[in-house]
Amino acid sequence: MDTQFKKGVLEMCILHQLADTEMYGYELMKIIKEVFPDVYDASIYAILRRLKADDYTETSMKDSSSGPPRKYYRITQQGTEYLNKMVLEWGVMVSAVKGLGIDK
Amino acid sequence: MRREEFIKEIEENLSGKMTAKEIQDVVYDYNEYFDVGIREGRLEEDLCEQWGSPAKIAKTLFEEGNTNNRINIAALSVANKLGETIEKKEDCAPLPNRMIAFFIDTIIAGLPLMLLTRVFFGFLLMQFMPVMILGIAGWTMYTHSPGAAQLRAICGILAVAFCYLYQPICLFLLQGQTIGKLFMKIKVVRQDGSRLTLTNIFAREVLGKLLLNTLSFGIASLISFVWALISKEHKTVHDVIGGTRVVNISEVYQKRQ
Repeated sequence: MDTQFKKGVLEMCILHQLADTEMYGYELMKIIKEVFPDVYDASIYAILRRLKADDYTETSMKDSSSGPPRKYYRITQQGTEYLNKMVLEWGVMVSAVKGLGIDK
Repeated sequence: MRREEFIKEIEENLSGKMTAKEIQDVVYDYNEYFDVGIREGRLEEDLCEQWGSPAKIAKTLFEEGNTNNRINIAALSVANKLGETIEKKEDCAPLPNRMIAFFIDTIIAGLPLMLLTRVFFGFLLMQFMPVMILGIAGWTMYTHSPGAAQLRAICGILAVAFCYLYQPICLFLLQGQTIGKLFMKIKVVRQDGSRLTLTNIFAREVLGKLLLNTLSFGIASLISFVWALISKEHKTVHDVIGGTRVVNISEVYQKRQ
């Protein structure tokens, strides 16, 4: 898969995970790896950092039931808008591809 | 590879490619991932193997993490050496840019007056409101240029009004910029970096510049000039009164958009 394309999809998936819950980094990376086993761990981490740098997510330290506090990621208003835009574009793209007869 | 070695290698590989603060952040995150992973029953060696070599992680972070805000490596290595004060200063508008912007704006603001009175470089007297008003009044009364005295008086008032309103109106309409600042890619923002409010503009331009310079017969602008030269963030009296600072947007802007 083309890297730019893949990165866009991963961004969308990560933001979607955060759409209604806060999650910590390890958890997010694990979930994404389950769906995309071939994706390199550090790539997911790089996306997490970029989403935060672009203010699409924000972080806060929260106590966990076990062990030291963890850094939780939360989607921002800007992130929600960005996610909605991406989901829309994704839908358009999928239906366009289907329109060409690629449907597997 | 074990945790300690892994973290140390990450630090080494990132050094010079990110700021000290960013590296600290990455190290923090990987330590957290180790903590969580180990709590899940995984082995340190096992996690290291899954995540790949620190060198490759560093490369990925540098290449993929910064697509939107790729920062010049050379500038960064300097920033690293000098610590975080420089990081903040990167944001701050360079003095030559501010001075060139000041001259462009002063010339634009004073242009109608210059054309009217034909006193070129008279715009430098702008800082001295009383001098200028007297000058305009004298010109209106005694000049031998054509046109009725009334018309000349109105032109004079309009030119003075333009001279003093140009800057605040620009700051309002162009959101912290003026024509000179547009050219020099600098911008006035609030201390915290957010957009100027009307109160900031009023305090900076009317209180900090017009009133203070008039009352102090221009001494305030002289202080601003010297202060801007010697202070790290190029502070001026009107910036302190307005609660504002001037930033370099050629970098900041590209970062966000």
